Amino acid sequence: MTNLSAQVEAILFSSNRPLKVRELQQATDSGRDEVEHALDELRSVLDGRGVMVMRHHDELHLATRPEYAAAVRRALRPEVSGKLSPAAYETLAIVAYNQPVPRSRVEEVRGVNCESVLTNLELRDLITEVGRGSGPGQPKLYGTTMRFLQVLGLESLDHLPAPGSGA
Amino acid sequence: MEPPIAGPRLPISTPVFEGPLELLLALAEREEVDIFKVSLARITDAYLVEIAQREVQDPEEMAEFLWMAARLLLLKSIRLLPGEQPTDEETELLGWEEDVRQRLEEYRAYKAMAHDLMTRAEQEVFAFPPAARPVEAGGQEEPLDVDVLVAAFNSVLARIPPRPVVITGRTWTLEEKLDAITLRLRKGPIELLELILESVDRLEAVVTFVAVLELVRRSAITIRQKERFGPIHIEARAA
Repeated sequence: MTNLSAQVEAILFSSNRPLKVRELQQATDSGRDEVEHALDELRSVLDGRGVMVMRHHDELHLATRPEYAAAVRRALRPEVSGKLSPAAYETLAIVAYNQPVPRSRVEEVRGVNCESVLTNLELRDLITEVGRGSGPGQPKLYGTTMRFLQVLGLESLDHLPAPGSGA
Repeated sequence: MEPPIAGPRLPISTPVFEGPLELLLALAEREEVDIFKVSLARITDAYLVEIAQREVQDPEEMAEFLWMAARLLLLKSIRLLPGEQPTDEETELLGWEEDVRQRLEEYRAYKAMAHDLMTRAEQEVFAFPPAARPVEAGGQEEPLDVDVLVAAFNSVLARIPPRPVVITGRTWTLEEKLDAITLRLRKGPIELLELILESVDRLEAVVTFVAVLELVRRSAITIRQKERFGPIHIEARAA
């Protein structure tokens, strides 16, 4: 493992919030390509270990692998948040697979008003505003968050189950 | 006149259908009608039976269910009279049917994805990030500072949309809320956010919050927050 990827590992380990690639560049005084390369290296070194590099767009974090969630839970007994309703999962699925997506598109698919369920998901930090649409009124565009990856134990959005795989 | 033929109602624990699309999909599955092969008109009767038994909660929502019912009836009537040259209205209706089918297909696909996500989330797959480190400024240790609680509440309140001016709903008194919360807490701890988000409008959210503060004052409940920015839970204090 190169010195740079070890540095990146140390920084990610010590940070209690996700860090942007740019922040890693600044902290290690390296270029973007070098950091990306170091991240790839770190990812392969951590293969089969208890933690993984979690990536949401440009943000990075270390997190425990989902396979060991039960053990971590027994050890730490973290507080659990309330369960989501089926309607919330539907909305979450539409956002996750279509992001960035405006409310109107979510409502088109579900055929009902989705304002409150979107607000609820936003308050739970599972989705967030990621931009504004160019249409009339510049509607809010929603996307998923790092928290979304944590809840589903996903390394990145590329690891979302393929549509229709489980059905 | 023959009574409408329809299967038994949906299971006793009838799920609440959020809109006509969801109901149509559930009915098509129950009646084993392949809505992509045969006319939607095939589930008209079952649809009518379902909405006849629905309790009208939100008139706007009910209107959507009724609108769909009207279209289904119209569709059924033109399907019963084959051979005629379709009128413009009928042609439009057939186009509508195709459109609804496509939407149902799309909706069904997302329902499947939602199901995958839900199954995954329930399999204990949480990926834990590093724990919050203690910071010099000091986190909110137990007992939680009421000021912090008020600040947190304000930020939640700002995100509950104001209701339109026409309000005929009930108003809550503090006493009622105190009882309601106390009752709820007998079943176990609740997340504060969850409790507040159950409010139908800001007024109720305010009454809920004041009731929580009152319960703290009476030492009837404890408030816990394990980590900074983590969920805040309230719990009945053991007598």
